[in-house]
Amino acid sequence: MGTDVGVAYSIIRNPAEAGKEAAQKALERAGITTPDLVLVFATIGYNQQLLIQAIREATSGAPLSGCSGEGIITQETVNESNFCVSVMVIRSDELRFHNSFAKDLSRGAGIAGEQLAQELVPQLAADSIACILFPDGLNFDFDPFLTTFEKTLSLQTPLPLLGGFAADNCTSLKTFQYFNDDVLSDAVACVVISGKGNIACGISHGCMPVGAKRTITRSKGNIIYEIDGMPALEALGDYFEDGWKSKWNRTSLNLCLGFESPGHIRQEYGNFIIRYMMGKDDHDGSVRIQSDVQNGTGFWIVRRDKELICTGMQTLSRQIKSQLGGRKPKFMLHFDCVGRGKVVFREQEKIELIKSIQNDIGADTPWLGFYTYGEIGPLSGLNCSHNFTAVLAAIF
Amino acid sequence: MTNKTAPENRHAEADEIARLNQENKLLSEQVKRLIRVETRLYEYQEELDSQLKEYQRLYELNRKFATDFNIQKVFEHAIGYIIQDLEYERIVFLRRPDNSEVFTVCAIDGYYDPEIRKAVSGLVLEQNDPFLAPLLLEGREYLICKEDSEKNRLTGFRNKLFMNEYLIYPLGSHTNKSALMIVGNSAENAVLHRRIDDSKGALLGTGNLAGILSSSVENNVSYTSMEKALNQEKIAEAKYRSIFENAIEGIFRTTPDGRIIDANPSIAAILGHEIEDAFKDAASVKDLYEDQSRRDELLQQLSINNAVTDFEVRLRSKDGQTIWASLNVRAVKDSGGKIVYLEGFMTDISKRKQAEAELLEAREELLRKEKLAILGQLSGSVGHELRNPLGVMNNAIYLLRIVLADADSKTKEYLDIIKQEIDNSLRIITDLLDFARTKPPRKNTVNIRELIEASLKKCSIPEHVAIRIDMPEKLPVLWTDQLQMEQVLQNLITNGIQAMPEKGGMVTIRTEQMLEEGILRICVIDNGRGITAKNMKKLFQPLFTTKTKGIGLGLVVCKNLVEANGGRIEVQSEPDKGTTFCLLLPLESETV
Repeated sequence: MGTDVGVAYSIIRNPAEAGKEAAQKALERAGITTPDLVLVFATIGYNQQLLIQAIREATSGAPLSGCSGEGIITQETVNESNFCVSVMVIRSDELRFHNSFAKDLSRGAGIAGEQLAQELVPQLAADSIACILFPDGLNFDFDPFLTTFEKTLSLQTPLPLLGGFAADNCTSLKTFQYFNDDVLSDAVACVVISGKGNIACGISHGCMPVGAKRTITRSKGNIIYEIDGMPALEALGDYFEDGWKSKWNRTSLNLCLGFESPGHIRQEYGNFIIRYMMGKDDHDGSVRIQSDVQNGTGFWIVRRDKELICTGMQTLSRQIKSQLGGRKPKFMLHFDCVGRGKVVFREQEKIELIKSIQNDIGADTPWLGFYTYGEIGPLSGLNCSHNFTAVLAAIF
Repeated sequence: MTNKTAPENRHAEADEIARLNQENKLLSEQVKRLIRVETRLYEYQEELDSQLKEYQRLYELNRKFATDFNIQKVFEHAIGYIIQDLEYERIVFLRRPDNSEVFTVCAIDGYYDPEIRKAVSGLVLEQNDPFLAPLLLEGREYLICKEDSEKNRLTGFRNKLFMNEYLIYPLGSHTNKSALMIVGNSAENAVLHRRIDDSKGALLGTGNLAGILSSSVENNVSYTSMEKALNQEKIAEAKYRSIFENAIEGIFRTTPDGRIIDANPSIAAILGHEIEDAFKDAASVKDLYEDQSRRDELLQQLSINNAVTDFEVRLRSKDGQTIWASLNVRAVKDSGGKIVYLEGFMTDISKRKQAEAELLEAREELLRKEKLAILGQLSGSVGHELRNPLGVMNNAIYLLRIVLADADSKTKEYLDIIKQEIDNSLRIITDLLDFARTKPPRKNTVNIRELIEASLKKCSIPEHVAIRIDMPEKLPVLWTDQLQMEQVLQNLITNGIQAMPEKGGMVTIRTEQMLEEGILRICVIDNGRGITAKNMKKLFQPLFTTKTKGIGLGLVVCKNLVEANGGRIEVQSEPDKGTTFCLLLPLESETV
């Protein structure tokens, strides 16, 4: 009985060679030839179809899931270039994996949530551990998705949802979700993990409010139209440097919105839930976030604080180790916000930050992650989406 | 505690609210400013990181270039840097070989569609293409085609490169641009790569790379030229070295004082050394000459003429043998006319010399034989004609001695002289006749002791010469013609006696039996003057003699007689120590 896991990466520019190299090395490290599951995170410089095709060929067509990220994280590398791919291969007689997907998020995240849940219901069992989600990060509204997803599953205890929003290296063009041979966009890919195992997870951000409270005066769903009676973009415009409109994808990373967190998660998570503005509309001056918001909701402008991020990671490590209780993880999944990567840290600082937590939990633990446009992880038993956080999950 | 009126309180409250609003506004501005500054800081930080990484990699790349003269490898390293660090999508390097007027693709990357890659790989650019003129003729640093460039020659080249935006840099020295570097992006993937634009910052990376690549290309051109020249030199060296090493003639170079600077294997072989190095270490030219005066003569001639040809010398080989060599030597002189060194060829002419000597000898032999043939013919007829008168004269002397028994001493002395000269003449005539026609031997068993005693009786032995016979008690008998052998032994004993110095000496007759060979050795040993090496060669030649009263036929007749009896004659001699003649004669089977 056991679980064999291998992780590898490649930065070769030729997608066919890169996919092949990463997959073959991962298989070698796991000591297997036919995995039960292949997880792939890659950046969008590659021709995605050629990349996935090469990985599928190298892994004998094993079930594959994953998405595009802004960068990849493994024990060997933390890379945020446009051309990097990481592969995790898993073979286990303790765990079972079922991969799936739902398309057409733009038709409504609620519809997608329901469709996906319907597809998963037959696969769920009493020993289902978690569902790992990889939604399109450019147009995903988590709240309606979660509502219909959990309603359709009708579980007494919610199935823990973890994952990261697919990213596109700040090009605002297209993100990709992987399901076996298919490279999708405007979709959500997922993997349900079941079997003899457990999951330990933790979430940490490192933001602090600056300035006075602001109020959302007009909104609908996840779209904020007005702040303090002014068009949202106008109200936020003074925070931006000149030329911000043309580089919204980068600019918005430096301006986070902090909403007061519900009391039941405050102790675990802190006073603020942070939200990233994933889109804007220059015509009506609105901005779009990744969860629904009500009129009259107060918020603060928050800024990322390097020191808080670092101490938050240490706390996260302690939380995970506490849950592990001395047991060794079979593998680690790591979803870190794009706003906590090279846009805030110097290269060496970033590597040291990631390496410190990897060493703390286990330098030889198979580790796979990516830089996201949003993170998913449960807080106090409730599934939530997050921004500017790191979500770590240890499967043990 | 101060009591204020309501209007005063309202006033104060309004002031406080205004102050707070002002502070709030100020705080809001500060927050906005803070966010903006922080945004800028992070952007600078990211850019700095990117530049540091780029420069670090460029530094590493430069170090690789510095140690690699293989331009193809240099381009391969550069490709990695361009794709991974400068983050352009596509790169093409073209090279123009020496004496060529076209640039062809030598390295390429970023094209992952095989057909497109094949098409670009086959790209050829004419050196005099007007499209390249600004780079190759006008000294422009680069050509740029941007996404929004208006239609021109550069935009017309997009389809050939499969790049929508690109930069072209010439590589090489100012006067010889022998390569081109083209970096760029396709339209569909440009957004994921470093964009092509002509801002100073954007061009810095490619400009730096083009600079160090130009140096590498220039170094490569120099290195290649140097390598080519070295190879040609090596080929020439190998060619001449082969001639030097394999020449049959010896080739040498020496200093005027005789130190050997260089010598080929043939020189060593001629002089009996296994390898030329050993020869060089072991010898100096002076030691090689048997006759030092010949070397002095050679140097003398070279000091007057720059070259001497066919100069024949006798040299001494490693084992002391004489080697005849012919030298063709050239004197290399400095500007003052002083000989710096000598160089030339040496040919071993020992065989030629030997052949010449043998030819000379053969000619002499031929001549001698012709003479002997005539002599033989004359001897036969003249000998008989003279012998009879001499016999008459001999009888007359005999009668005169009887008739003039009382004559005075002077008369008797003259008669003795006449008698002696008649005897000499008869012996000469006998030798002549024996030489002209050796009689067939009448072989019989011959007692050796009797043979020797009979022979001694025929000899006139002066007082100052002692005769010693060294003979074992038991000896076998010979199978030979006794009279002929007596003649031989008489001749050898007489020669031994005549070879004695005035103070006298001893002639020893020694016999030895060589049973295993069936031969008896009879040796006549004198301790007289001996025979020189030069004369030894001619000892058995007819008409060769060192005696004043002889015609040089005695030993020839001896040799003929011995050989006619199935034996042979051997001689050993050492000047001033004596001579030994040995007859080796066949034995009869029974002994006495």
